[in-house]
Amino acid sequence: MLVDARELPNNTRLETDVCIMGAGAAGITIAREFAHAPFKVCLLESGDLLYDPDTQFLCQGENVGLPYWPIVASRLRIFGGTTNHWGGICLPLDEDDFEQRDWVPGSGWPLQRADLEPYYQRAQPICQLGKFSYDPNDWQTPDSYPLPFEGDRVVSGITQSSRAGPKPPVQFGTAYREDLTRAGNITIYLNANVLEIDTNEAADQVTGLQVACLSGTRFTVQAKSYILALGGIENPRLLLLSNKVQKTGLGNQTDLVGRYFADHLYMSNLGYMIISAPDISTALYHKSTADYGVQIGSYLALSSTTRRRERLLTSRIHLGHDTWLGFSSGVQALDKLRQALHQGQLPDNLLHYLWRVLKDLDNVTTAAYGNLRDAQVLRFGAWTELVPNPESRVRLGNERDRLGQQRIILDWRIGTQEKESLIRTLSILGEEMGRAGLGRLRIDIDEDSAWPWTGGGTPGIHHMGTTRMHIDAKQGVVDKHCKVHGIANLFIAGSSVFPTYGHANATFTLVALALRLADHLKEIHT
Amino acid sequence: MSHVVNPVRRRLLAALVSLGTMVIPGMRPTAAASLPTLASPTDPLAARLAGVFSDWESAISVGREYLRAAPQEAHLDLLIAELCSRQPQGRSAFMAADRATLRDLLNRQQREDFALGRTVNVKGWILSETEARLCGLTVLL
Repeated sequence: MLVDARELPNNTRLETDVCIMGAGAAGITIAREFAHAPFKVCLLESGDLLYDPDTQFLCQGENVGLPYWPIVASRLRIFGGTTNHWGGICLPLDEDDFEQRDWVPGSGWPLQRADLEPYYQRAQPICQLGKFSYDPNDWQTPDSYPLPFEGDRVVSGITQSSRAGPKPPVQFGTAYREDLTRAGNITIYLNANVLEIDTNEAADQVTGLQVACLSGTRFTVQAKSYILALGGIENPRLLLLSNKVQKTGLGNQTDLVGRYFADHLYMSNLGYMIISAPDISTALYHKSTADYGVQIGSYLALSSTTRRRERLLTSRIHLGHDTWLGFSSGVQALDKLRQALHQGQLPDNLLHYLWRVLKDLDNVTTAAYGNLRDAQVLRFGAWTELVPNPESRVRLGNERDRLGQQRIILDWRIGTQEKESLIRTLSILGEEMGRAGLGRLRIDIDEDSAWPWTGGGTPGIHHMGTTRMHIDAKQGVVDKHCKVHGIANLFIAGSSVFPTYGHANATFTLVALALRLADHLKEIHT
Repeated sequence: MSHVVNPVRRRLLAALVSLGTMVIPGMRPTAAASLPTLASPTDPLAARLAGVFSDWESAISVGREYLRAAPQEAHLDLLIAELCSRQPQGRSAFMAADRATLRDLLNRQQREDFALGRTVNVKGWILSETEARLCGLTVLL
């Protein structure tokens, strides 16, 4: 059932078994798992089925840290949440992302990749992806295959997306609304903004929710279990706002709520790769749509073994064609290249001379020193993991929104370990390219580069870490079941529980975790 | 692309033609792993090594950038010594090789450089020490 909460009589008291706050990827995934279950579910969503600017403006906040996307637009208050504007890229976290790594302070999940594996498999069709394989060998064709590196230092990986051509990636609200509205045990309340989470005096049990509509309607919800699924900024915000009993905010006895805010850093232009080996295809590394309408992309990364040995963060490198070079046939290519050089359109002349040097040393002796068309010149960029940083945080400001709630202040901070790790990662990639006779790498980032905005760095709008997971209540907000420490019936879903972030886009993992939480709650309620 | 061949290079090219692929008479291979004989300005090994390049302009351009980044290597004898030190038989390995074999030796040495992290950064490009030094050598000839 779908209800516009604005039409509820004022001061209605709703009673249910499980109340889910937020109808984004996590909230909808959990609700779908409860469809037709022998318990009642209430799904509260701030937004409506369509975009409403007044509701969206409730997301406004202040940024005092690193430059960031407009806070008001970085998440969506609409049924389906941020899946209404996401890029759809999915891949699982790597094994070492879950490990405690002594060069990554704050690292270590209370579960392993193997624990999440069955949930990743279940998340695959939910995210409307292809076959469950992220091994490029399973996707290769005679014309599209992993670059033939030697040894085990560099590997290739696969990303998938339900985006195909003009079709956007799966929007959870549109795709799954009917599943939810058809389930007799689920009621969705739109235009419902949770103002506060009430607890008993000991603050160890949630007793209800205060909910309001912009129209003025107010109501309460009482449930046996509550799931916070509002996203990496609104999850901590609501906990901090719920401070009637626990003055520092709910679940915040150790001042961790809102801390460790992280996003992924994407740098689109970190340098150039020249593939000088003949007859090598890089087609696998350029997004393509496989037969069943799933977009496949591939990337390069260091192996887990190499990352452990070198004490590096995880990152992945994407390749892109240098389309403005526009080579055609051999002689024309040389002319165009010469022109481009003279007009300063190439990144540096050395690329041209180096290519010829490589051809000489590789004994490619043709009248024209090898056809330039044979050399693929590719830009590359990278997604990189950030180090958990407790000083990077979301906190409450003094400004208030239309519902009287304190707005958030975002203070995103990044250290320098990420830059050092990325430089070393790219250096190893350069070594391996030479070792395999594939070509050469030019790295346009060094110790003196402005950080983190060198190479076109932008945040990925993946809000993570602000209610992090840890078995020790002194080091985390939620335990390994995503239950808030010290509160018997409050759980958190979404990427705010990630203790580390990897390079993988967050949605696929948060959907897997949501499935795992749903299974846990099913055991409790049935 | 036209090449400007200066008088020094003309003499070098003439020397290359005369050397062909033959071992230079009178030169005994040095013992394995021993230091090579220091080069003189007319060291035939210098010409032999530089002769792997057919495009001198490109090699010199890369070499010039390398020597800017590593000015301490701007000595012909040092470059040759370093290049030879990677071969178990030292300079004799290069001197005894015909052109194709020489190229193979250098190619393998390049790959070994990358495998062992013997790389240099030349304007952001990750190059093997061998290829950078070979290019550097062309600048000094």
